[in-house]
Amino acid sequence: MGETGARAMLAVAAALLVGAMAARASYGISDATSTSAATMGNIIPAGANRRLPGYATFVDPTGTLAVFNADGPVATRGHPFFEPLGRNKRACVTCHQPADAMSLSVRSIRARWVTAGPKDSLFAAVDGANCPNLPIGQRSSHSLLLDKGLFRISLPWPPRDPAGRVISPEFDITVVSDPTGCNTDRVYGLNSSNPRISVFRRPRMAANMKYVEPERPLSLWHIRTGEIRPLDPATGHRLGGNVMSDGRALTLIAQMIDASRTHMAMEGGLSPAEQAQVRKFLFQVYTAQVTDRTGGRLDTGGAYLGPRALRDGKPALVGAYSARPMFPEIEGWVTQRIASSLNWTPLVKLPPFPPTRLGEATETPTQRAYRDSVARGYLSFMYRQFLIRNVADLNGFIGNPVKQTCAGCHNMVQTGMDVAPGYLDLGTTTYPTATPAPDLPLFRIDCHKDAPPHPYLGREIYTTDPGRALITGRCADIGKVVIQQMRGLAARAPYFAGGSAPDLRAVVNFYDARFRIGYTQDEIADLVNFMGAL
Amino acid sequence: MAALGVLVSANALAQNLATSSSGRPVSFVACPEFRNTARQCWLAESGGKTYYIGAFRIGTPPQLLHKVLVEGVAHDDQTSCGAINIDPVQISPMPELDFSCDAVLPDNGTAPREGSLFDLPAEVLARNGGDVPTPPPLTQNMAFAVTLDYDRAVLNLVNQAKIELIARTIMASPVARVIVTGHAGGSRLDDGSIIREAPEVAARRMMVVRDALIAIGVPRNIVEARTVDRPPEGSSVLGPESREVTVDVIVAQP
Repeated sequence: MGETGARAMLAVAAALLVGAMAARASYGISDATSTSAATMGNIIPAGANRRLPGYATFVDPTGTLAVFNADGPVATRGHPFFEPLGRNKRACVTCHQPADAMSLSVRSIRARWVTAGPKDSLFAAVDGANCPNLPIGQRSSHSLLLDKGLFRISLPWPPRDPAGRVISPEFDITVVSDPTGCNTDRVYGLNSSNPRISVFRRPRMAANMKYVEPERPLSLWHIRTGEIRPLDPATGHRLGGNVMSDGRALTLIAQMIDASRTHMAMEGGLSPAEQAQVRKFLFQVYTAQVTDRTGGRLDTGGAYLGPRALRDGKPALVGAYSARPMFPEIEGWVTQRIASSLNWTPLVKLPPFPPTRLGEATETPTQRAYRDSVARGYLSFMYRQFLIRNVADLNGFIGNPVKQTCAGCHNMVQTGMDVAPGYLDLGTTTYPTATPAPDLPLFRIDCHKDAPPHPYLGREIYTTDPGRALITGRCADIGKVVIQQMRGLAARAPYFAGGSAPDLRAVVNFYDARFRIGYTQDEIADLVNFMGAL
Repeated sequence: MAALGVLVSANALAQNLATSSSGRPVSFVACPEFRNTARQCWLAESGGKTYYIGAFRIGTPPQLLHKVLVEGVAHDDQTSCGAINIDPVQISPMPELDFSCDAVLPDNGTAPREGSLFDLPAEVLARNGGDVPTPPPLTQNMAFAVTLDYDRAVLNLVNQAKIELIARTIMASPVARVIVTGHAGGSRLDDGSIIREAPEVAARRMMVVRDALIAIGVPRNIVEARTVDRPPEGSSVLGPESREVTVDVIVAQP
């Protein structure tokens, strides 16, 4: 092991030790205290006979989330999104719950465990357990799902291209630590007769899809990697790649097929008619936060946050310009007073803001404080400069380091996704920057000498999830995932693809430490309020 | 075979190196230094002098944790960010990590800049995200060249625009054959030493250009791919033009 490797190994060991304590502190294990009848009442089981209203609201930890069906109410009976079509009695809705912003929160996962335990198909052995060979029904067998909302994703190794041909990887992968036992299992593991790698990831939101898969041609090039974007055979449009974190399925239809065959254990997957029906449903469902417990409604006082604004918005717009703000729904809360109170230097000159906002004189002190805080958080997100370092592929494209803002990467208007789009290694799963996760597998990557190395981690890398590299086999892709949308955040903790941030404060703290930003506690609170309002 | 002229000829830097009446050619490998100003200046030291090698830019910018190959024309009477200006300049971050390259110089307190969060290169702004207009069809054989960074096979924004233009030119023309040749070259440094690229980079370069042409729409069956572990024919010096992918287009006989 070279000097770099030794240093990395020491960092990993220290991280694991600290992480063992941090993980215990961050994630409570008392299910009963976080379970409420209201949470369970909102869960839509697979096969339920319900009527999802045109506009439904759900209480979440900081306020209310709204789910808006732009085409009107949806009957769940007989609908392929809601029917248990697979062998394990799961439906799409099992893991994409309206009350959880069409994703899944640990809060509701725990409520389901307390109520039904392993009888709920959510906990199916295939991916709702840490490994299918573990005794179903014991809490410890489902700890990653119950503690961090993580599902097991089993991927072939070496990887296959879309035609099923084996890709010769640019690196060797070794299992250093295997707390779930799955990666070293003789049936499911890396050395089995059907070698596979198990990583653990959060489900993404299945809503606001016109932003995720824009129905208009994107540019020809993936501008950061210099590759031509693939064509969608159905539409002839160039594909962005924002659908899945690792890009293994590039369209929503492809994702449906993959998910129905794997997560739902459905022989053959969804039929073309079912795919079309699910796609139609997902392209008309919008979700976003609409009230805050202390601040009240988010669509008053000049702001117009909520899912209807998402229905009316235009996808794939870059919002890094004052004339085209990132979250126009919030701009109405920003005033001269707030802009002049900032104690940091913006990257670019702030645009002029009005002296007061609509109805400001009649705001309660609590309301005013909340709106001010959200507005400050928004300005920080859009304009507060800091040095972004060692993020593959971002820094290779615009300089390492680069002075930018949060919106530099989270640049798509109204969603905070990346218009470019692209796979970035932010460092949430690669050491030394990853939050320690002793409950997750740890892999060592050794990149071949004739392959381009990872630009900032070199050729010997430790990671809990190699991300995009498990699909491409490229060393430079290790740790890369696609930025996900920032809407409905309050309803679907925890965050990051690996569930490493239990709440929004942990998200901000990660960035603060990662980029040495130096946020004050007030700034962190403002950013948390801003993100919670989305 | 005719040359294409200014559109996609061997890069402007090579021409400037050959014709510049003021300034002196420089070529060196050094750690880049980042000055944390509003312009985000990049500096590099060589031979006891500090050079300005560019500001914030999209494309192939310098990278801390990597040495950088700097090639260009230095103007001792011109300074930017307090250092000698190199213009034109070609920057090639070296692939392997170098932890000694980690210098962030402090902010000098300048004000926020005007404009947007992103400043895109003129070539990209000119396209405004749209496709390259269909060029006129070729009436004779044509040679194109795309210059890549040292030891790398990634197409930056400028090269993306070039390749799109080449592809659309081919698609608009009666073309019999397209020969894509990847080269591995090097650079002759100021201290007299020569650095050479890894031979395998020639094949990687050829493949990214070939695959991009085909993905844009050039028929696969007319594309012939070659790899040459040496600079392109006629390349007289070891510099950026030795690291090209050449695209020779043979028009069909009427």
